[in-house]
Amino acid sequence: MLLRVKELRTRFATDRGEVTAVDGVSFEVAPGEIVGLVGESGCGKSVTAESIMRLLDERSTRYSGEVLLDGVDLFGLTADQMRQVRGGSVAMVFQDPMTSLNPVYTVGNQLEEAILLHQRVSREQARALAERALAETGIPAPASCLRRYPHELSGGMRQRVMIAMALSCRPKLLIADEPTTALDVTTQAQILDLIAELRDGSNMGTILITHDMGVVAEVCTRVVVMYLGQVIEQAPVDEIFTRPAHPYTRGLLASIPSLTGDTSAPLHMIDGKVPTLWEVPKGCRFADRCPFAEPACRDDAPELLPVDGDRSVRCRRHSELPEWAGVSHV
Amino acid sequence: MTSTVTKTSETPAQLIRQALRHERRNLLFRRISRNQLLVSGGVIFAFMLLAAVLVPIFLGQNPLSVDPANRLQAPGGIHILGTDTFGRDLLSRILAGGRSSLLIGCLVAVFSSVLGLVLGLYSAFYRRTGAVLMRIVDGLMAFPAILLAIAIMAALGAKTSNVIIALIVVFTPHVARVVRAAALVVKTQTYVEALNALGAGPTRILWLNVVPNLMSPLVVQATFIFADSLIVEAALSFVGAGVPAPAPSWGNILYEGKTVIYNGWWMTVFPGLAIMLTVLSINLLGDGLRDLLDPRQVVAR
Repeated sequence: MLLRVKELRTRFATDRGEVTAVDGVSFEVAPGEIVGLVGESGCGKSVTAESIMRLLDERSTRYSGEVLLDGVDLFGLTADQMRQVRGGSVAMVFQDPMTSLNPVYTVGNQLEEAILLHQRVSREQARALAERALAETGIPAPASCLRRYPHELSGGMRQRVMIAMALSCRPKLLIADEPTTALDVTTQAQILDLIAELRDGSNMGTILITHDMGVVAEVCTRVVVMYLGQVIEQAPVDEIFTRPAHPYTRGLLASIPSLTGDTSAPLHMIDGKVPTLWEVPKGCRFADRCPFAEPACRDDAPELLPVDGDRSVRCRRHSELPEWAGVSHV
Repeated sequence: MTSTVTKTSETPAQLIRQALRHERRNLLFRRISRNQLLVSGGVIFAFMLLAAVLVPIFLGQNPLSVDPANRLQAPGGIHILGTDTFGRDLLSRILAGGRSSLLIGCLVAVFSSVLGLVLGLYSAFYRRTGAVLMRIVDGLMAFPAILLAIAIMAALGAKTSNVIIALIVVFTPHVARVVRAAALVVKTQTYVEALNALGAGPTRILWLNVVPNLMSPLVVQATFIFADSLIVEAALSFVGAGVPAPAPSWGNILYEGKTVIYNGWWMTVFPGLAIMLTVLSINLLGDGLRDLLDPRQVVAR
């Protein structure tokens, strides 16, 4: 197993006291696998990713649990060792390609900097490597692109540059934090194809963070669904779409707008809103919004339990739920 | 024949590079020449600077040589702007004063920019250090500039080098404020997090990646400090806490002129004009630079 996250907890010190943004998250990523991390805004997806890379300000953040990359616990590394891991064996692509490149340097300078941080090569070699990395992302005219400033490029091109930068040192694990959210639909599809293609060419494991179930269906092999800092379901991608076990996952699937059929029917909504991290319910965190909740759900918190082999779900009633009828268009 | 063709023709990459460079240079030139503030400020400032540096060589007058027989001569004759109460040539005193004023202003602008950059940068990125530093800055900024400068001069003694130190202490907090505000914005940009995620260390991120993004507010602030320090230095010399006599400075010429203002108007008017023109030109330059360096202007024009 490439990455093993065990009981990850991330706590932030705030003015109103300590909050637990990620609460006991465990999952695994195998080489060559694309794991989708899904959930709505504020559920802890990005914090999970940032915790894996230890990017959060360590003066106000407390981590516990284990993040094992090839068996090495990243929480046990010194700051210097961690810097070798970042961009070396684990790389990250961010959501907003408009601000993820430094406006004062050319694309080439920034790619070279990324390469020189981790590889002992000369400037000229770095330049050649930068061009090759850029060419691999399928950008037209990579040589002239290297000499351009970020503001001269479109969003899709900048995201390709970010991907080239992330992959320039051949990481074992790529964390893509909503890499397509800020892009238009055509470019989204191209970037997703690119990520899938690059995965095929190497044995790189990928964590794809998204709130878009369409993106999940397109490229992921396995899905981890998060709700309010916890994993509530994980399963292979086909299982999630054909037999979602958790009521929240069902709600997510049902709220995808249909392209065919009755488009005038009101879109399904999950009732209520996500509680804040200061008012986490004592029992099941989803109980107040769950159509299947019974009093017992509100009293004790369910565990994440394995069901039929390679999937798990955090719901005490999952075996009693009615058969998933599916959404007409999915 | 083929060999001659390959010799003269350039690769497409080179052509693109040339075209890009050409286009950028043209654009920059157009933006500078269209910027009236920058051009007019630059011309007046260049005139003052050249006059202060070059004219004394041709004038051949010693700004310090006393000539009691010719005291308080009106402008005209060999003394183009007249003479002062000791019979010293006013034009060469103003020019020599200008040289020391411009040198002081320039040094103050450079040193307070560098110091302010370091303080502002680290207080934006390190919260605890920042909280302490910014309270000190608040304290320093609570004093009026001239009062603080007079107090420092009183403590250090009247010397030109102490004027520079006093002015640096007065103006560094202003730069630190501006830099910190700009750095706090840059800090939240994704590229700073992306650099962290690439394994770049804090020094590399701060100095190679954040600082270049702070240059435009810093340069603009530096020009305003240049202008302000000319005024504060003149005021210091005017109250006798600045450049000590007999060395000329615009402030102490004004001070000497004050006592004879009814029978020697030229001793007040000309140094006053010199201060006004120089400060105006630097302020115009600063405004022009702000327009030039503001990245939003690229889209707007």
